[in-house]
Amino acid sequence: MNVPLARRLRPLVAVVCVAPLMAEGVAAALDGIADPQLLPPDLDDLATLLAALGPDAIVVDGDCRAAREYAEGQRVPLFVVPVEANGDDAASPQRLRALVVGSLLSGQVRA
Amino acid sequence: MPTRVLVADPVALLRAGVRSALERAGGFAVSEAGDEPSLLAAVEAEQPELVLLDLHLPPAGGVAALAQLDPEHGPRVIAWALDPDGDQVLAALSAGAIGFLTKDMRGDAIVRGLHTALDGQAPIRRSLLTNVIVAFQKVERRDRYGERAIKLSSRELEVLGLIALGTRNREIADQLSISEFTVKRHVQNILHKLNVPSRDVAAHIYRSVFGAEGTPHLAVTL
Repeated sequence: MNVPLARRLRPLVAVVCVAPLMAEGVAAALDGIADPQLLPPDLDDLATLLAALGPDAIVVDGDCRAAREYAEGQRVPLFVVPVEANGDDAASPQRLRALVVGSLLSGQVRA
Repeated sequence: MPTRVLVADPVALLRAGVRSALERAGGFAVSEAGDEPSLLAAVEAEQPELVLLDLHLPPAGGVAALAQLDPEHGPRVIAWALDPDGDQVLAALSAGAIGFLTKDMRGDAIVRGLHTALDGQAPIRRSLLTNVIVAFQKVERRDRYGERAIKLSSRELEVLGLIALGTRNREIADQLSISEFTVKRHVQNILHKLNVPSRDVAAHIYRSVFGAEGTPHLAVTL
């Protein structure tokens, strides 16, 4: 169950990345707007950890089943920022920052 | 004086992560490039001592970008990728990279790799070495076999190509419109020139040189 946003100082974003430096880049992009929680994707019980943390959004750098299932189940925004280039610039810090802010704000409005 | 490092990778978030790790470590001045033209411009303008180069740098890849850099007076280049195979690592090293790291390494390991390069050594992730050795042996074997295969006439190569596909002498004779006796003579010559005991070994050599589909990569040379 998500911890309500109002009970946190800032929204919590789970960053589940194969590449630690990608996670660091994502954390830097979210600086000032969210508290990033870096998690390795190969954790044995990532699903349980996500459930305990109750993040307001999740960022992954590849396919991560636990993150996908949690996001779908809890209706939490999931952002995929591929660690290898795939032709577009979806993974720019500014764009990620804007998308995360936008999704968090729209979630608050919906709530 | 900080070491000038250029991070050449199309993924801006990853570049930001590398920058953050290097700045935290201290002693590095970091610049960035997202594609080959930016890389070349930054090398010219900033004269970096080290380049961390993505194997898939647009538009043509890291190996093509390496070919544009001056191997004598240019920066020392360390290639990197997420999960490269041995052939890719070997290609980058052959093109002039002095090392190869992977994107699942932690920031402190990347920093150690850069220091290793500055010490004049080759930073290569240990887990890549087995695949690199296998790739190197494959290239060596192909070259060695290629030297033997080059002794074959075009007709003998044609016969050997059919043998490699599992074709029997009678069928080869039919396909090439020659007698079975002539096919046998070609086979004897092939075994002699390749210095191998059987047609199976000869077929293996053919596949090693020309690929599993029998595509004649050496056709121009022959």
